[in-house]
Amino acid sequence: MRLNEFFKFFVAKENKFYPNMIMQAELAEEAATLLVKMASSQVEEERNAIAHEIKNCETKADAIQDILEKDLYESFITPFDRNDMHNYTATMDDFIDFINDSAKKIVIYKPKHIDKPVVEITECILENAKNLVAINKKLEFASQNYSFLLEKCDEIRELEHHVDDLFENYLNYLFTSEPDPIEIIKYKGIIIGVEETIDKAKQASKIMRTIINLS
Amino acid sequence: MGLNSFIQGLVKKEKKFYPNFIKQAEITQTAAKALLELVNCQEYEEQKIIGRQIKKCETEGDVIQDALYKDLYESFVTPFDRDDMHELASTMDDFLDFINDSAKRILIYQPSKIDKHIVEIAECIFEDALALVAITKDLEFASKKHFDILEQCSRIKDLEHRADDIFEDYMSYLFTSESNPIEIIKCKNILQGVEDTTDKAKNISDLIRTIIVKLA
Repeated sequence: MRLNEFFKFFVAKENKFYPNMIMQAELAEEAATLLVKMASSQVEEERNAIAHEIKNCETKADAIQDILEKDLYESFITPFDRNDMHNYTATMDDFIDFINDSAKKIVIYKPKHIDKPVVEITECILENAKNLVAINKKLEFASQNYSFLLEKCDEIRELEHHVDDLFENYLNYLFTSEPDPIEIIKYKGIIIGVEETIDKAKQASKIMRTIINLS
Repeated sequence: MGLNSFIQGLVKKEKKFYPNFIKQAEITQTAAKALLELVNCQEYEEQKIIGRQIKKCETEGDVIQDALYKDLYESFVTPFDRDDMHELASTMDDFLDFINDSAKRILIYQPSKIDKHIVEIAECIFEDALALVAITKDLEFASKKHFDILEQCSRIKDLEHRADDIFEDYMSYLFTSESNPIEIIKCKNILQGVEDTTDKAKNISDLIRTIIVKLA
């Protein structure tokens, strides 16, 4: 590790990672935008069409993740700790996967209507995707943007806490107001999907915190 | 990492690991075959007997995993990256555990019937296990057989995708055709059990892929 640090003085840091990391975050944003649109739509056909577009984002993101992994494997020097970079990009990829899963759940369950808390959570997911884009764009100049990056990480955490509250209230509401058990299973499945998605964004921000604190 | 590979080149590689990996895969195959029997069987008493057989496989798998860990701990040189070897033994064990979990779910929920989707996913699990046996047998000769191994890995990936599709179809089917909420809960949980199991097989194949890349 120390030897590695020593070498880094002599070799210019690899820059090829940043564009792909930005692209990865932008795909998350695109997928999240679509998810908000999907949750706001009450027409089943329209929702299914949007789910298809989200799936496309997920496939594109997989390809980028493959390139990132390959670059990581082949690079002698990485801008940050190799393991942290791997974890960060893998978690970003999970985030997009979970957005896709959330969309799939809506398609599978065909809920009669989508309640407001679900839409609100998807909006938080979109906000966090935007925060991750902002982080990745500043990452190359992390040392000059230290406080900006930390601020964004805080925002991601705050939104996740807000979602936790929404989640609890909604479950509470479901089990006191919804009389049809099958509908309860559906809504519960959908809300768990979006709630787990925002957890992934928070996980990414946690790794980012480690990265900027060590860089 | 570079230094490590250099030293490993000088020292004779340990071969004792491979038989245990193969044995682990073979036990998994036995368990997967029993699971397939279980989902095709409608008699509760018979199901219980098969469930016990699977549980026995799981216990045997644990013993082999312990042996693998012990060998790993005691060996100076390992045939490939130590962490990866540990991970391989552990993900293989997870796969076997999840087969056992799937069996347990069927016994616990006692569904009124087992739909063909579940049987199809159990078939995927059995094929995963076959692929794993083939992979572990080739592992010792990874440098020569690396194409065969990668082919088995993509077979596992394809199986996982197929299981995903079946999962979606079955969930849609359940929520449109089944009117009894309790049956929905039962079938959904059993389905989730077998689907998670195919995910575990995919974890193994992803890891094997990494190992092969590092050996190249």
